[in-house]
Amino acid sequence: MFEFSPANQKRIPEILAKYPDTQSALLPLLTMAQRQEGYVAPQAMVEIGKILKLSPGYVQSVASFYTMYHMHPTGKYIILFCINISCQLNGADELLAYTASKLNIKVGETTADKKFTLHREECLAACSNAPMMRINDTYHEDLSKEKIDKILDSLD
Amino acid sequence: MSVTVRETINFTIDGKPATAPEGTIILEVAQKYGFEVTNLCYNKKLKPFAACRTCMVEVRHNGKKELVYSCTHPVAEGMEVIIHTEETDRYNSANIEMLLVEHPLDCPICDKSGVCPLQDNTELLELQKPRFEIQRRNEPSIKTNPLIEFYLNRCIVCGLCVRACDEIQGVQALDFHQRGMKASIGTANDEPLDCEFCGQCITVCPTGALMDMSSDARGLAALFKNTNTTCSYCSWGCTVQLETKKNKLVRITADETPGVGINEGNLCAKGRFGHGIVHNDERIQSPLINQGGTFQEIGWDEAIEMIAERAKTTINRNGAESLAGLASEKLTNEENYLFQKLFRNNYGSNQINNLQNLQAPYVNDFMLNCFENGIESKPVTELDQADVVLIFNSDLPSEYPVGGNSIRKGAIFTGTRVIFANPRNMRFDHESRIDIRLIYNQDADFMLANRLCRILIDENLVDTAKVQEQIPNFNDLVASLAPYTADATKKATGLTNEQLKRTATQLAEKADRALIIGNDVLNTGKGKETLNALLNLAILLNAGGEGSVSIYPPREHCNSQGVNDMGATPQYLPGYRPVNDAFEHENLADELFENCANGKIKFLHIAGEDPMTSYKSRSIVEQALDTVPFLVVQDIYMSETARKANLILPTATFAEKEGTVTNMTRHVQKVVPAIPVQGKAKSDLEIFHNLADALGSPFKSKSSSDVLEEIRQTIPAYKDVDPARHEQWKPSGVTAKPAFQICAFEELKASKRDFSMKLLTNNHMFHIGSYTHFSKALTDIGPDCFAEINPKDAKKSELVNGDTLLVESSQANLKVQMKINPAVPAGMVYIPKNWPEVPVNALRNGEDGTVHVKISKSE
Repeated sequence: MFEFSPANQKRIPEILAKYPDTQSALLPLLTMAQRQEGYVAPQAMVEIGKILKLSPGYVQSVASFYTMYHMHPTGKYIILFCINISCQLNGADELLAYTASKLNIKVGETTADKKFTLHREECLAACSNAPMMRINDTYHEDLSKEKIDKILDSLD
Repeated sequence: MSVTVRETINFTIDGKPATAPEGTIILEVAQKYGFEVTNLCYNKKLKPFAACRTCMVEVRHNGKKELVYSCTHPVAEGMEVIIHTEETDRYNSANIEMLLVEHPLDCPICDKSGVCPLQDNTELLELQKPRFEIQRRNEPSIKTNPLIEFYLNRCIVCGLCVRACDEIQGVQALDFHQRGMKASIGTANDEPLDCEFCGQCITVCPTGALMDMSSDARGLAALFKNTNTTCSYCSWGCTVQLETKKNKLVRITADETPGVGINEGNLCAKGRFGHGIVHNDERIQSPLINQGGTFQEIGWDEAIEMIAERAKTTINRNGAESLAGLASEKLTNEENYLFQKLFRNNYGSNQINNLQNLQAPYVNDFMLNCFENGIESKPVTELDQADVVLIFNSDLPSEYPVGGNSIRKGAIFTGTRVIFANPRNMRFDHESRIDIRLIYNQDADFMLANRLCRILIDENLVDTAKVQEQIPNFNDLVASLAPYTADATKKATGLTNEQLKRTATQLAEKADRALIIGNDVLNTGKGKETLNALLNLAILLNAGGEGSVSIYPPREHCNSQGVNDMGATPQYLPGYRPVNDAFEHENLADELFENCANGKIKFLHIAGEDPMTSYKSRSIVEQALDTVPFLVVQDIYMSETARKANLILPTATFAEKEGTVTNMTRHVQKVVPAIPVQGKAKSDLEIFHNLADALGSPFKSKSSSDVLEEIRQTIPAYKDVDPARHEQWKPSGVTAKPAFQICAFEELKASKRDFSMKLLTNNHMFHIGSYTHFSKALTDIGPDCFAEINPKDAKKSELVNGDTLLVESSQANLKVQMKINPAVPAGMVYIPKNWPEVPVNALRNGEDGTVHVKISKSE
């Protein structure tokens, strides 16, 4: 069963009040569910559908359209590694492969200790400091193997 | 037609002048003018979408050249549209070529082959030589539900199924998953499809990604023979396309070609998947005679001879009036016409009736009153252009699913305002901006309708001076409405005056209004009062308001209207001519079963009906059939009624016979045989002809078309109706007699203390009448009968989902599985009437109106 936490429950009317119709509140609620659980569970989509009077199929169609909604359980830290043109030209492919081998997982997987999930991501709008990755809400830019080591080791 | 007037736009297509109402999109007009435009994701019934990007055309307007998608771009004054240029062909081709990268070329084994837009467009653009490397998907097909197969390798993600499911059906069972190369369609969380199984998605799918699994024989549409005929289930009268191969009905599809049928290619689960009743081993195989409780096969000649002899001796011994016939709401007009003729001309008996007229004789009077007051029923094809639709006590998705489709389309394209009045809070999702829900107390229908009349007058929402001028008994109406105060209505219906005022205001606005009346109205015990109140409402709006009012009367089966038109009633001869003095004998047919039970009727011939399960009260039918000395039943299946017969005659299904049926709004439509009559069965028409021959006074007619000709001579309204064009018959020779129908006020009866719950019963979403049980596809999706009760009542009686419920009335009791449904109000037990093992009509104790029951958990 999925349930929004009491604090999040309280935020629902505030979110709904911002929009002319309930459908518009879909992305904020999906985000809220993902922040609470780490991913958007099928039950969460059904629950959100009930709140917003949308069919679960429709909720899923929206959630699965966006790559930043995770439909499966994730690790504590979600690494979104940019592989778009600027980062790629600056060696993102190699750095991504390095990160994957360091974590001993394939891209798209979660480490056995449920600490890290690694995903490819399209442009995250930090091209000036390519290559880059995003871990949860933090941008890490001008990456090198050493810098990646340091960042990953600093997270507990 | 909607009262909103749209401006006419002038423009040209490939140099030819064209016109269309403002807002019309280019593709729609181009197709109407006969131009071929490539496209894969356009459907006239759906909102513009532009998914496939293959319908690009060139437009020149105000000196500018533009390339636009013709499925979303509206026409404009002075616009020049050019359909094919080297440039548009290049763009459109590229998009189709990209679809062909993935699309498997398994056409020889595809259900859509031959009727496939992807094939047609590929051919139109001459794309024989692919430029791209082929990258096929190879996913297994999904068969997790009983009826619709998903073979998504063929999917081109046009979105037609997703949009049809949402916009036409209001269900949203299907949606897109993911995006880009990975995009596909599916259900929420990939759970098995659990929906209304209308199959609209199969019809609109351009590629065979969605397929009908209900039939064993599959494959190329092009190899089947198609016959368009009229569906034999509800009274909406949809045209179905019967696909046959080697004289076997293989499947039923919908034809979306404009002008084919009144349903625009929409169907429901019953109409599309209910073909299992045709080729079925359980059909009665031969005429049967009851010999001391066991049925023995006999020959046709012998059987017919026996009926004729028995008829003659009964006439000699007891007089012609002791012979009675029950005509059928499911037989064709021609068959019902001959049946009443057999009784009236050959036997000399006027004892002929049909189940609707027996249970609700006032429906015919209601229709005639509508005619006298100039209230019309517009063609159902115009329902999607109504400005306001009042759905009065009809659970549309179960009762008239395709009617719901038209209203949803209206909500999108006409801006139809929907008013849904029902004791149950049933789902009816649509895209109307204005949706008024009146969830009122069971049986309070007449209070609601009369209160609306009173508000129209009290609040001057209609021009009362004009009404008074046109309708002589206006003052009587005003006086009769005195008891319908806001308080009394609130007490009876549970609705506030504000809700009703808002409803009345919506109805009173200048509009094209449609009033759809559900069959549940007839079971409230105040059917006549309710229909009259709704008629008064219509008269008030018609005489004192602007726009029009159209009434869709309650008719249950495919020919409930026609059987009455044909005079299979003791009151009316064909064409509603009064019987008057034509027959001097007592009218026994008005109380047909009572008069069988009391011995006055000695000979009963039932044609294609099963009153044991479909008459409101089972006990009286049982008594009648057990008492009547001679009972002939002709039917397709061994019904409970047939089991009581002395003689049973096997008849043909709709797929095997010719004739016409008349739907609820009087569209006379063709029934066309797609296969020969199966086994030893005979069509009802042939049986009646044989009987007349055996009686020594043969009918002049030989075929169904001869009988139709005779009907045209007898019934002036049918004279010029062309069944091939789905035309309505119009009342002819009706003298205008404007008058309100006044009924005395009577308070709602309170529930008796011991039996505090009220029963509601009607047709299930996947079943109607007593044949659908023989269709495997329909029992697969609707296998079990479930009673439904409100969570409060469940709690009170400590019941949970899946419990067996004991339902008791003062007459009888029955056991049925139950589920909790918050849409059912507290105090109501809803049980569908289509399961022979749950005989809901046995609970009635002879009283009219709603049956009062009590419930408990069955151990």
